[in-house]
Amino acid sequence: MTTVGDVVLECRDVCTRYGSTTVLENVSTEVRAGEVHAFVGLNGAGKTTLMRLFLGMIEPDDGIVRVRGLAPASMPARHWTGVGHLVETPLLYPELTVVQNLRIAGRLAGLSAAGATAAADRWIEELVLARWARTGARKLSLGNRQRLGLAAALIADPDVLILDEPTNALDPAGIMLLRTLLQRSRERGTATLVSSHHLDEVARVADRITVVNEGRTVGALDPRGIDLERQFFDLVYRDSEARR
Amino acid sequence: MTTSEQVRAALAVEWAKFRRARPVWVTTVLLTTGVVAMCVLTLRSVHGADATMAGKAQAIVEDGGRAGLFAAADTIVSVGGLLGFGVVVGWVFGREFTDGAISGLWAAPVSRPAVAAAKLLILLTWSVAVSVATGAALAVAGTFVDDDPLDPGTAALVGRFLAVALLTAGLAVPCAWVATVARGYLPAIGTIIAVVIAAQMAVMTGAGGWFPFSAPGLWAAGPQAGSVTAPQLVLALTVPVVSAGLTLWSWRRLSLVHQ
Repeated sequence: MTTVGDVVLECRDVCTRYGSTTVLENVSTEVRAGEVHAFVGLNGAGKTTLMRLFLGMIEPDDGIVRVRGLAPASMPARHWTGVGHLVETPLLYPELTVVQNLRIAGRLAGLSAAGATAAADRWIEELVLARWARTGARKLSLGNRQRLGLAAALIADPDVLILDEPTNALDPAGIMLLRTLLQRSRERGTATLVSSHHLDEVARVADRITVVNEGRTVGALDPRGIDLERQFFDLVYRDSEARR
Repeated sequence: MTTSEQVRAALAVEWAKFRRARPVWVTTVLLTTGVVAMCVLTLRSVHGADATMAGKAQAIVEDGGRAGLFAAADTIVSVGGLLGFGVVVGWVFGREFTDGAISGLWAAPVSRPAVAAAKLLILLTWSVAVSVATGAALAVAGTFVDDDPLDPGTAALVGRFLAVALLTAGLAVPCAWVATVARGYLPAIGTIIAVVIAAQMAVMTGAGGWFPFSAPGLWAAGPQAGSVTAPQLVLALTVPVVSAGLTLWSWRRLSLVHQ
């Protein structure tokens, strides 16, 4: 059982390579219970790879990755209870309706049949998907697919939440909704790792912002600071120049 | 969650997808009514105007009647069934890779091996159901092509058909492993097409008995097609067992590093 402030996600000196390409280089970071830690960077900076490491999808070539103190790549399935994620493509089956997809997500998240049904109904309301509840997922707009993916990630009220570019395809109402949901999760003590390249949005929800560039963490931004965009590009360009 | 709880949850998830999937329904219809229709057509073509076709059909159905109908069914299901079962097996195991939804099966209290086991169990159940339904439909069709009443001989024909159909379904299990390692259902479908062609070539070259994918059809056709020995049938039986084991192992060790 974790309490607010406990380190839930942690990596130390992590290096990851895809073939001869170094994707992450000596990355160290952590996410604590009750905080939203945002990773920002340009495309290909390594944000998604870091999330894949925390979810056990890949193993680091060097360094240590821990989820609640355990190595995720070899973690028994039962220890993933309470972890929600949306990385890349949502777990979404086009032949199933919105409600059927969410019931499936609930069962995979460890809920009972009755629990998954109740949770699906609740999250359909939360994500304002009621109008499409009986619609096949293949007919949904991109934005509503993203809402469905977010509902699937949140279906079991996770205490660890990993979201890769969660605002993708969302309309302004969807972005506000996501902000509210993240704030509510934080109040409940959820440790949230989120990646984005929307600095304004990140600044509104994050407690900490780490900037990554070409596989390395190159600095931090104060979410309450001013002119974050300029600070971000200063960090990125300074790092890129130093590498040349 | 215990392992059995994980498998139960995975079964509920996989069944919800499987029973609504269009590829499954299309293949089910083709493997049941399609096979029966082709058998009846084969029987009829013996008396057709095309002498070449009539000769080929005659070689399969021999004296015709109910025995001829089932002989045609054994031949058709050992070739077409391999293709049909292979497509569904490949699709079931490859769809998450092709759709990109596979990452959603990580970091869940229901393990990937539990999901893979549920897929295999549902495919096994479906294969039995399709084979039994087709066998029953053939028995009914047999009453229209043969005046003789249903007798123990009919039961033997149905039993042989079920053996051929289920063995053929088992020979499609490698598609699960191919879809897993190749990360998509298209490589699995390509593989089963290649296997069907290879099986025909093995029969033509006389090596069919030792090629597991042609053994069921040869066995059903009887000694005149070239005898199939017990070790050769056992070899065919090892294919689904080894493939299922490899698939479970691959799902346990799956990584997204090359995605």
